[in-house]
Amino acid sequence: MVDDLRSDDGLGGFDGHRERQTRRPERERPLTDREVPLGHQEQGARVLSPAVHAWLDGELPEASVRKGDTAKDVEFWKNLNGEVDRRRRMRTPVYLEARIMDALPQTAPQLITPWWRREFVVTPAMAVAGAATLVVVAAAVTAVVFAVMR
Amino acid sequence: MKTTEPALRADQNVVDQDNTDQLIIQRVLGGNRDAFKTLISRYSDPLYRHALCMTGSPDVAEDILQLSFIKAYQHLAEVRGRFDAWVFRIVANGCKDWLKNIRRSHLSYDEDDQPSSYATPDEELDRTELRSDLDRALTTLPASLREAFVLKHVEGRSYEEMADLLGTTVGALKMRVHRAREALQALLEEKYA
Repeated sequence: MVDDLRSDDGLGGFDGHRERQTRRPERERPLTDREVPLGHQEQGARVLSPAVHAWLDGELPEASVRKGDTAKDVEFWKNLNGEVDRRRRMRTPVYLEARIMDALPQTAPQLITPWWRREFVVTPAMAVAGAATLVVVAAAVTAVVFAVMR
Repeated sequence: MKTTEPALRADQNVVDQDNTDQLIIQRVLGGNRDAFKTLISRYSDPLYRHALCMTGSPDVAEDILQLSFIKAYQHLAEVRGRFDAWVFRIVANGCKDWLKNIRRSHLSYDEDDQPSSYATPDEELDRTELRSDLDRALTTLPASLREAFVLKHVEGRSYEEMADLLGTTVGALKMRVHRAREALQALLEEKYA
């Protein structure tokens, strides 16, 4: 299983710089991140014929599974499909769009980039100040070391 | 290799839609806040259905959708690639976070905004029962199986689309859908077979 667990930011792992995390090789991933083979079923689950799965995936015509042991499974899924179809026709409540628009910030969205990813421009004055700071710090450290050694 | 014309047209539609999404995003970033409404109208139905099937509660689904679109608006400048896939991930993660946090016995949506299409009261009663039984059965599935089942059966997506949205492989998704079907059938078949 490679569900994105970086969901704390709610952005589904899209940080604006990387669209998808690179998958680690199967062996390196923890056991909990791997798919469990079909042999290990959910508790109480039954095994459906591959033909029924293929029919449900639209790869086989109904007539080919509507015979023998799989006929009962076909009946079951046709019964369930009515309810699934109803869900497929569901639409967003009409008031929701207006509610979302009202809740949006009034200002235009800005690029929110963490400080370590922001562009860093070094001006000559900043470079001189930085170098001077480094010299002072180095001198201070050296003085402290000499003082301790004495 | 055989390539059908409708498939080509569908690909072209995705590209066109993606292009117009990018134009809308540029307008919103330029200060046209109202242009975001077009993105909401375009994608709210499938996102709402997903949230509703994942959580089983219309109120929660509405809240997740609202928060997700607000997040999407705030981070709109960071979109790289397809907007619909990006916003789907925000909603899907919102649902997963809710499922992780919730401690509940059962939540079911007994309100339905959709008009009934069933002919007789008996048929309607049967359907209502099936609806709540299916909800109950779905809540027993692990979130990843439920998500795969909803994407495949309720949203009618192909395995390739699902793999693209979830960042995983077609094989892994087929396995999840198969396991979800088998678990659901085990839970419901005695009553509905």
